Amino acid sequence: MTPADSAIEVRLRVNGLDREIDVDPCRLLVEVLRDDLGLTGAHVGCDSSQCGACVVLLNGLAAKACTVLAAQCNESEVTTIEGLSSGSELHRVQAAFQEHHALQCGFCTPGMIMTTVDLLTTNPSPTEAEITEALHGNLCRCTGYVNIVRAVLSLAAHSSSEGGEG
Amino acid sequence: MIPTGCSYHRPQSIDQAVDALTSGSGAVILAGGQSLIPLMKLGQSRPAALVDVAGIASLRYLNVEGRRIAIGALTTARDLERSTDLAAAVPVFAQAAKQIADPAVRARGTFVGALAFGDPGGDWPAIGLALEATLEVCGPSGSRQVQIGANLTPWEAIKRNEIIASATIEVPDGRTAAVYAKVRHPASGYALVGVAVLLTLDAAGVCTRCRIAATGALRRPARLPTIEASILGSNLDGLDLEEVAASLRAPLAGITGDAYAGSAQRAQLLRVLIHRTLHQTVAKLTSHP
Amino acid sequence: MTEFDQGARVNEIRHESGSRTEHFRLIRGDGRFTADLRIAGLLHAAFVRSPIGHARLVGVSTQEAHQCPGVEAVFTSGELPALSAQLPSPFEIPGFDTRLQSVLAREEARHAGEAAAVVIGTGAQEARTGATRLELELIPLPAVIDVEKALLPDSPRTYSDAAGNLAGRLTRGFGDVDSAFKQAQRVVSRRFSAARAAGAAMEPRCVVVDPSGSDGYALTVYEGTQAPHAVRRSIAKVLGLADKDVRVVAPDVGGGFGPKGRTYPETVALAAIALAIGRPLRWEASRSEDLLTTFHGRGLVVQADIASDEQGHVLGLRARLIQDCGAYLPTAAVVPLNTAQHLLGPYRIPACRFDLELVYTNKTPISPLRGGGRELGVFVLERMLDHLADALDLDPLEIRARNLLQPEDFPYDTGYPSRAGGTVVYDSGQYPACLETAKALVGYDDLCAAQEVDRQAGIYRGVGISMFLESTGLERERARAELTPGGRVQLMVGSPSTGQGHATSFSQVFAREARLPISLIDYRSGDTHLVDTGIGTFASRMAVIAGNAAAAAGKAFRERLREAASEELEAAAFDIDLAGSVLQVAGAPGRGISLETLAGRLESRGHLAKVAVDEEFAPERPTSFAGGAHAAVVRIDPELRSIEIERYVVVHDCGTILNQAIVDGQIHGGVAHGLGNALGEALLYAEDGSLISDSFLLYPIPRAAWVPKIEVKHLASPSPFNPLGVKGAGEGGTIGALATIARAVEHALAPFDVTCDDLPIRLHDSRLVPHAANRQ
Repeated sequence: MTPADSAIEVRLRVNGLDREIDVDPCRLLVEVLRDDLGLTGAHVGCDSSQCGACVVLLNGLAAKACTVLAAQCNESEVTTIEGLSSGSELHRVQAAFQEHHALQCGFCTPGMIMTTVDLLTTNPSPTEAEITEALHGNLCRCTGYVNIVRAVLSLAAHSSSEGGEG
Repeated sequence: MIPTGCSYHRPQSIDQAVDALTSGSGAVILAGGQSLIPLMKLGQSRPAALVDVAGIASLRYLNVEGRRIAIGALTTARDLERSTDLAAAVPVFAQAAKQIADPAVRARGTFVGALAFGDPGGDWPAIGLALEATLEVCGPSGSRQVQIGANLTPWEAIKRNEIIASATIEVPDGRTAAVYAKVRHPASGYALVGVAVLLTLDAAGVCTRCRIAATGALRRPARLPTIEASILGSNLDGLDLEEVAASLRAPLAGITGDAYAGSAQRAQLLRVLIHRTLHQTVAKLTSHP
Repeated sequence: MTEFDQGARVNEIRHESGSRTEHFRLIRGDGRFTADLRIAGLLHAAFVRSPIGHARLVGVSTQEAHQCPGVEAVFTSGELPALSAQLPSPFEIPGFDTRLQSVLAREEARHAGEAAAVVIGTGAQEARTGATRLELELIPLPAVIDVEKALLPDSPRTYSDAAGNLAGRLTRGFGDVDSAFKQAQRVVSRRFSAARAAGAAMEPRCVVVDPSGSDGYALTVYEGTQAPHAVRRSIAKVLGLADKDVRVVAPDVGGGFGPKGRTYPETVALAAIALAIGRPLRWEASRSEDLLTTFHGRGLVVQADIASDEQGHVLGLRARLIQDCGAYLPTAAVVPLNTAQHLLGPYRIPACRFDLELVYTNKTPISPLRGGGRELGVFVLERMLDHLADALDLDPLEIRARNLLQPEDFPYDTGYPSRAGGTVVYDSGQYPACLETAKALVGYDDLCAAQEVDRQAGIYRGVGISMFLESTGLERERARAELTPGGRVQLMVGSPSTGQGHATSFSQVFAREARLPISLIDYRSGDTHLVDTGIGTFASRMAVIAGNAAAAAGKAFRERLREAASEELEAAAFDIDLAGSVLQVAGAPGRGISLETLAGRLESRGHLAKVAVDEEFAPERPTSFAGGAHAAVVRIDPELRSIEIERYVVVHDCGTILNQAIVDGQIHGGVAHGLGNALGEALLYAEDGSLISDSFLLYPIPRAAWVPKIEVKHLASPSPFNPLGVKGAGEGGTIGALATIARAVEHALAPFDVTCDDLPIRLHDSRLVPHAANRQ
């Protein structure tokens, strides 16, 4: 049997950059992103895969980085919130969150945005019900989700502009 | 954070995976990890070794051939949710998949893994039971077929050094429909109660096959044979489905409860869901004869 | 009528939403929360805690933990004097048996999660693994769980040296209550309860302590706290340091909601250990640890009686409030005092008497939690009005209309004794209009009329409307502003933002008064180094107190700028106008100087400090009263016992609105929190005092699909008690939601015998048996 705690080599492409790191097999992707790669945009809000503050794109699909071992991501492509846009340019989901005041404390926001990016990639014109279902695994305590849903709805392909005033 | 260490293996073939399971005591299979990793984080599961099967490319497939569906061990809930072929052949997969956890969990959690794990509140086990999946189980002495039935559950069927390579489902000929419904636990999203129903009717409207599986309310997901028996052979036009559901008594002693939903509450929800899923299945059969 | 210059007030809502300046970093993942800080040489701490509610601690076996790889040190209460010290109390309650928490438990653990040892490791994983190897030798003692049973003579005791579990009694009220009840034609009595609930800010608690002295302080503490100055005071006091030796910084704070306004044992323990070992330390709570140890909210039982005449005019109100305080005071004491005061609501109530009993239990201490106790006062009062209306066969809205204060009644002296001395005076409001607006917006009459037809079709829909009132603002706060060498303005406030958008709102207020573009202003807060005083971000106080401080700072800053420019431009200060970032001599085009140039010149002469202001707002009447009405439409599936919230409307009056998007957001989040409290959130304990609901697998936070699109309508009655006319808006969403949902559910299930006086509402516990009268 292989001795426990022996580090294994993992090759990743993170936000477009190739990375080779040695990790303890029990380390979670979110720990490696935050502690080894300095990408602290993905947050840890719970220990039971419920809150979604840690969501990143793993090979293009939303994944809870707290429920994936870094070892499982060998040869994978990871996009974090930091890789979504560069310079002063914003990704359109980020811009919509800004525009619609879809965040308050901002702790859940990176996960919300990454989940939304995944949603719009697979379903460019989600209905309100589809949006709230897609966000089922992303908890927010500040906004009551009202402006988050409004922001995502504004990006739906069928949406002409902002929804009605509350 | 996972407090205790463990070793990690990444086999490239089923044989290598079986070897890794056999050689290390306390080794467990890691596929999507959406059930296992949370348990490890909470310290409720402490495997000595993980055998990550994600590198075995031959386990990643979904074949839809007529009424026969073959699902490889690495096929995720999201794959099942999005497959248009599958939606056309057996719509209950997409219908059930949408009720599981959230998109990020569905993108990694696998159908076969959920069957193997058999979480008491898991959704896929109810589908596996109602649709009577056949498992291809690989072990040190080769592979074998295991058919899931009323008295055999997937998690009972496999040994620690075996791996389920795939699950196959054959939808019966004739007028067949299946429905899954659940009430989510308000916190975890697992099934507080879930019910999967599969019905086949003959030309005269008589039920020739009835499978009802429950999850959430029981210690482990299971079929409900007495309810099935009260429907099988009956003409559904003349059957009071509410009464059928209300007849659920026998397994009541086995209905679980916790501080959030007691056993009486779960029993009540189970009756309501049995009634509603039966009703919806019949409605599908009548609208698409 | 007002003591302030009318010209400074704006009697209309200001629609100045604009772009929230703090968002840009946060949406790009550039936020800096405490757990994101990286300090070289950082060690990690893990706490070893009692798993049960009450136990005698007879020993700690540390040997195995010491031998774990990566474990650097283990501390128990005896290792350092500070570790066995008590956390200081910010206030005293005369006559109370006040018990304070120790940094680490010594002889007894009195709630599950109470820490008895700390393991220091090279990494978080090493520290935690070490903590799992450390053994506490505990002898279980009987745990006090139920707050009412705790008052029985044969109850086990939270403190073995106390006569019982009562921490103290208080009575509050005014008027002749006894004769009010004697004269009454109708008396209704009811019992209410509210389960313990969690703040559950999405950011779990986290502390980083740096003893390097690199910034000139003996100790620098980073923590996502609502009250850095109070944390500094506690640390300094326990460690025997002066306040000036300790710097506390609240970086980005991932939500607060009340419980993050306390000083916690973990913070003080880390400060003491870091100072002792000379290494920076970090502790980050897991969610389970956070649910277990971050102070809880609610936890109240109320027995109330209301007296009225036959027309439903309220004559008097009596209540006995039994507050579960958990194992330690003092923060719990504030909660039932708020509850009692808010039992008066926005109504004319001639007499009242409230008897408060504060009770120790073997549970996590209680803190104010979004609403701070106000929500339960409003809940009980509004429910009593519903029950009184039912008893009198009146429409519940009619009974409210008959008792509401009218706009001309303000300022209204309630007669209720204020904690600050004198009586509680409401500043302003238009409650009848709020009620009528809510009724019209939600379509109350149509919903009621449609109910019978709906029920025949198997649809159980109900509507609830209730009023709320919220005391907001408290104490004092400072705003400082400085011109920077580059010609920008740094605006600084003591207490931090925990998601309320202070950077935007206060920069906006400051910029308007200073007549500067908001883009020139850089806002900083939550750092004791920048502003030496601050009370904290709670009690919906920041817009009221810091908002007015920022306005005063803006006004003063403009004067300093004009004075500085007058020297440069050789013109009288009163002749100088600000246009954009240029100071201009009035009527003399071309005679101007840009802020950047001015700053450069002042800097070169060492005169930059001339353009600096420090304004404190400490009004005689720091409390203003926000209020309004909530309306909810629910649809219930009686078979599944599920409740769907179809519509939710808030008519909200918080006076002058500084930034509407931010206020709306506060209301949305507040309502969602209230819906959670009304319909699901409950921290449940087992008999041995262990916490059952110790993760998000068991503690339900409202999710996106479950929270309705909350509609907000503003009616503004500016407060005459402060120059801006603002009233706080942080908690009204939660405060109004509880009774509103309870009534809507009862209304939907009117054919059944269902009463929603216990929170959270659990329909599964009701048998949904039809009333005898309605049985067919």
